[in-house]
Amino acid sequence: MASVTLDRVRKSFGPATAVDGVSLEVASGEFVALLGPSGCGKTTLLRLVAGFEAVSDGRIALDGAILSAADTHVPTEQRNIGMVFQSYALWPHMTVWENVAFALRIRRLPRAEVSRRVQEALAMVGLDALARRRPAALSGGQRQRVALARCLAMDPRLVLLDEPLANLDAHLRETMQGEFKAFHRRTGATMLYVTHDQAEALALADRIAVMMGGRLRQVASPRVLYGRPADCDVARFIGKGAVVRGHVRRVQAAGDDSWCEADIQGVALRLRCRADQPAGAADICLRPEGLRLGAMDGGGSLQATVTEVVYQGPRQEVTLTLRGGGHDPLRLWHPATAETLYPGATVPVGIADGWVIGPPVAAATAGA
Amino acid sequence: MSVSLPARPPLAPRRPWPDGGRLLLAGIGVYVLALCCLPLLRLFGEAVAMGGVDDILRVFDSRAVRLATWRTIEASLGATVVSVVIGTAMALVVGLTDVRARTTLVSLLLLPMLVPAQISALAWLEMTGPASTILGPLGLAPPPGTRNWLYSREGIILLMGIEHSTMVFLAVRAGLRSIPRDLVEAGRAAGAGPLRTVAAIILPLLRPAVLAGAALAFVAAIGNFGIPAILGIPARYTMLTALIYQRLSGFGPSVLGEVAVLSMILAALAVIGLAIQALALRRSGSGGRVVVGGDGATVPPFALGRWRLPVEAAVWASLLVMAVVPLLALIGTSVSQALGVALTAETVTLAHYATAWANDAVRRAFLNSGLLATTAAAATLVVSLPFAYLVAVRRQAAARLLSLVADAPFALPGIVVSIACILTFLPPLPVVGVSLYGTFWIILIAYLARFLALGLRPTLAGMAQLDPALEEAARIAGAGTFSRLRRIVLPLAAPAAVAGALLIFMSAFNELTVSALLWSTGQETVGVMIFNLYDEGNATAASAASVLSVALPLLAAAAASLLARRLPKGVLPWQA
Repeated sequence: MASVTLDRVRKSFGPATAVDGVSLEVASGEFVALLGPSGCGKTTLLRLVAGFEAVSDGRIALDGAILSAADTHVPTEQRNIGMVFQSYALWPHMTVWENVAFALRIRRLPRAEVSRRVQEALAMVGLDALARRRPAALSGGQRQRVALARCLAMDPRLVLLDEPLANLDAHLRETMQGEFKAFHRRTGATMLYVTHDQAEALALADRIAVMMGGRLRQVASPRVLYGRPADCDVARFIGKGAVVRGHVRRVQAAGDDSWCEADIQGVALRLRCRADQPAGAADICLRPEGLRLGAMDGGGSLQATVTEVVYQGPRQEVTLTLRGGGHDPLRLWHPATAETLYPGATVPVGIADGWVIGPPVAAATAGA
Repeated sequence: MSVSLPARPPLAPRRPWPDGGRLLLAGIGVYVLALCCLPLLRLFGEAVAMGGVDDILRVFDSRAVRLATWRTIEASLGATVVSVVIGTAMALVVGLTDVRARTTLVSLLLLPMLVPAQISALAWLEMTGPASTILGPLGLAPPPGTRNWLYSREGIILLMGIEHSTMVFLAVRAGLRSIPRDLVEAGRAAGAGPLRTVAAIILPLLRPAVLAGAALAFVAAIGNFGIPAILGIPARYTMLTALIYQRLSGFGPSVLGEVAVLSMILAALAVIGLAIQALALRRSGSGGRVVVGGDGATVPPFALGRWRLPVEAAVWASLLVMAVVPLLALIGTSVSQALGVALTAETVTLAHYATAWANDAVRRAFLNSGLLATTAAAATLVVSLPFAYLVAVRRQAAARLLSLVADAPFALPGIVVSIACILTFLPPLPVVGVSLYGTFWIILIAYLARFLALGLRPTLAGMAQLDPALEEAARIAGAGTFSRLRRIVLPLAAPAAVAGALLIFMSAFNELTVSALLWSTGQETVGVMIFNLYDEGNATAASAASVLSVALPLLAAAAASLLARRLPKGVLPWQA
């Protein structure tokens, strides 16, 4: 097991900067998800750690030994790390057994040792019966398991996963998520997992690093990331958060349980906030599950106009706009069995929970 | 897990790019520069250093040279028109209509490509001459003593046009395949009938493809030697390739400086054609990007209805006349007792085959060409695998540049390559002090240079279709450059590379243009031997040898087709 250190890592392709000064510490045995929209540089960052690309600046170290720096580049084949690819990258001319055995044969392990470890790895993913098959004769889920077994057999210090579930259908994806968790538990390997799917990241990772425009925006546990987003972009990216403008009146500092009295459009609210949140104008993150139609007990409610109603089976998702500028459209969930709403209606919206992101930052969306 | 890998050597800092890749690049760099770049530079230097502009002008002052240059342009343009008409019409019929047996039609259309120019010239002469075994029984043969009308400018234009129509056909067919079905269906939905759709939508979209094919046909006509030599020399219609051949075989290496200038004229004409082709391809490329959004399906064939039978009859008739009947005439001549003796069941004889095979020079030629073609194919196979790996998988810019250099000897006329090789290898080699001129080796070197691109292209196409992650996964597994090349890339790209080697074998076995200038007694190639037999007036022996020499490459083509299932699309040009 190994710890990974990224220190101000930068990678540019010609004039374009794909990774822009990323620093990240991954503890030994930790499962970290790199989450971001497509084109944010997360795959490039993973390829830098794998050694497929050389860094333009900064350094990457594994257990303190430098792998990549401006003047150093340990070739991929000497890094001794495992990787699971989006396309699985199973060699089509080799059987399942040969695919899993490849890394061990390259290392010239004794034949008995190779056999034993391949057997073990295939048994762990439940594919020992298919060892003689070629990848072309396997289903998508089976291929993914072979890719896992190939990684498992290497017993690597660090495992990189590049959107390994992106090519599977929704049902299989859930099953394989379980497999990855089990894989992590069993091996205890340090894992770096690239995905654009936040549900996957929230379900799997010990910590999530949100990447946008080549930079890390927030690195935190799934709970903290969801409940206490660091900036407006992260708030909008995770869990359909809406960012609205309000005012903080008085802060009740209590560490992570700090809260404040605030108002949005003159309606008084109680919101969660940072202990050091200053009074004054602030951006506030509101999520669907913190909103409901109708007034709050003993509190006021915001007046909003319904713009769209989408039937989703168990519920209706209602999109609403607040009066005045500077507010994202709100989204809330309304029971499917309740009365149907129509666009254009003005309704009261009660706020049960909200998070004060911080004072408005003019350049927040420009990637500060 | 309790198991763990044995302690690996400590991770030592290393420079970017492992040395294996550099070693490969260095080796391939030396190979390509020595074979493909150096001789052409030497030729260019010779033409420039011949004494400056005055001498070049003096060469051009000769009436014979000016006339040959004009005739080369005239006949090549004429042949290009013929190629465009035949190639485009056939591509439209095969690609857009519901004629039956399309696979067979395509193989027939591509047959001229497998039959070398000098042999199709012989075959046409046998088909249309007084002794024709085809026209004779029909009572249509010209009376004995009549001069064959093919010995003329028009004959040259017709035969070169047919010979190179395959290039236009292939270019237009590729263009047709890149037109998305949606565009045509949108036209039909807007109310356009089939003819209107073809005229208003398909043909305008095909224009760049037709132009690219025409440019290639023009370049091929400029560099053609077999047809201008066999038809043009007796007709006193001398084109540049034939002029170079006559000068060099008449006066020997003393006129090298002059023929260097002549070959530079050829090269310049070819470069103009290639530039037009590149421009046309770029236009068609941007056209392809505009139509993104189609579902990738190609245009479905139009139903010809009651016109199907007449169209099929016309297509089959013209294909038979262009590709099949001349070969039958050649076979007919090769089994007839003597020129003019009617061919019946009693008079059929294999004596000419026996005589030809008993001839030392013929056997030697088959041995030489077999050895040359096999060696060139095998050597290029060995080089093109790591070469294509560096270009297509590792994406090294230097390797990509080398692949462009390797294209030059294949794109330029063959006669330019052979003169470049004479200039480079006539002086004794440094250190050993031996001249390669007049030996087997100079022909082999010229073949290696000329056919490298022919073998490299399919290999590149094969590797470009590999998922890059396959190689990356092997790096993750700890495999070094050579190990990845041998265990991952080579097994996956081998079928495409072998197809490339078969293409080289087919082209090199019957090659005439390059070896016509490089051969010497004892080192004849099949192409040279047939040309000489015909030149001596031995038409029956030449026919017999031609039939044998075409059979072998056709077998190679059949072998390549057997590989076809395992090949990426577009590797074998004759696949329907």
